[in-house]
Amino acid sequence: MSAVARRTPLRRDTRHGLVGGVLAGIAARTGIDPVLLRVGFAILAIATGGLALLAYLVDWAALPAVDGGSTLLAHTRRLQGRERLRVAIGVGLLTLAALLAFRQLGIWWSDAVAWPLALAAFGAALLWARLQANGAGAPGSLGAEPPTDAGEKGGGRAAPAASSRFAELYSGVFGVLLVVGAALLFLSSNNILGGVRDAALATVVAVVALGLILAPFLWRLGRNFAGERAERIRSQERAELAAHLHDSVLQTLTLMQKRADDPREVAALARRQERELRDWLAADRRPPADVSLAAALREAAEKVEDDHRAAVEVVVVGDCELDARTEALLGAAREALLNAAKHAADPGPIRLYAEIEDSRIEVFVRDRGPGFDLEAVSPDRRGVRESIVGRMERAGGEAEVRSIASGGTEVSLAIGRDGTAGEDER
Amino acid sequence: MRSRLRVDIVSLASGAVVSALGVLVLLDRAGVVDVSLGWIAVALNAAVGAIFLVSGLGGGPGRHD
Repeated sequence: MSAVARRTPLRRDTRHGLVGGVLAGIAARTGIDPVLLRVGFAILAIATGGLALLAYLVDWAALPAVDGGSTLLAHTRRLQGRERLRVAIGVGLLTLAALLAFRQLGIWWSDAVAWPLALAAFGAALLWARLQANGAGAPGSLGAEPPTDAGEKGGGRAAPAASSRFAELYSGVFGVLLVVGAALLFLSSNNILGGVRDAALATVVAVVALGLILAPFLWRLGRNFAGERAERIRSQERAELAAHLHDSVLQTLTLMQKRADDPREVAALARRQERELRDWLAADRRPPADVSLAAALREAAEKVEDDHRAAVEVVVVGDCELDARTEALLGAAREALLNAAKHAADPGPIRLYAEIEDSRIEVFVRDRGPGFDLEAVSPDRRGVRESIVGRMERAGGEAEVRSIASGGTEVSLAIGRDGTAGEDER
Repeated sequence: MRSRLRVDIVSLASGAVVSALGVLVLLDRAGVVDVSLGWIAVALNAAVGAIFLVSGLGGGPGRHD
């Protein structure tokens, strides 16, 4: 064996080979006479029950040829996912066919050895493939390969899809199951699992028998538990409802009886209780008042109701977040409600109607009071002029106070969502 | 003049494999050879495996260009 021969990389010598050039390549690499190698290989193939032939096939697929051609494995690495799967299935079926052929020919160890070995080899191949795939994805790792346009390497592996991750997990679990199954099959075929199998079988039979005996009792027990749990939940809900009714409605009814001589107070109590009940039924689904304009308008109306014992009916259509413009609108609406509660609460309820659209917000506060002329109001009284009209104009909106023919006053407030009065968008 | 007819290697190989399988079954039916169930299993596995292998290798990058 010369030094030159040792430095020569192992390749298939297709020019001097008889079949695939593997043995000729080994001969060229080691310096052994190829005829001797072929005779030795034939003896080895018979002695190993044909497994040496499989080894030859693996070498043929893995070794590059001396003329510079790429290996079959290198070619399959460049394949895309579906083609690679087809090649894997094809190789698996051909291997199975070869094993079956050896079995038919009698070149066979035994079923107790060969099939577990085949299963274990398949499972190990799956696990190795997964390991190599993970290594190739890690930068700088030993198994890393340069990205190609084949799709799975490079960007494709940097951000694998969920289905790809699931497929990798599935193949990994399948590989583990194959190896474990092969080990169990080997142990079982060689009667090593006999004692354990008997004990496991006895345990399974005992558990099944006990289960069949206890099944009706366990079923009834489970149903009783479920029934008791449902009854307990119903009792808790009933107790919570009774406590809430006692703390709210019953207390308010007692107060109303005591204040029966003051109709406004009774009405205010009734309205407050109605509000609380509605909120309770809504189960806090409404957004908080510091975020939502609709909630803030309702809260302002409730405060006016509580402070001035005036009935306020609120209808709000739509909603939006609070910002500088909607804060100004809210302040003006609150002032209009306050004015109405102070001067026009007796003839009937104050009505607040708000319509919040994508481009414009309008609020109307209407009362049934005697009305007033804004021009006739003394200039030193700045409530309506500054707190309503001036505030809206500074925010880019507009406000109008007008008397209603049927009696009462209506304050209309309008502002665009983009800071204009919004009239041109109508 | 360049021929516009292109040979589809995958279809050709698959057809050849299936034809060989058919010939084997035909010979068995005619009594020329006696093919047992074990050998039928070998032939079927080999045929389907070969079709898968050729299909996978033939569908690699650059093969359909």
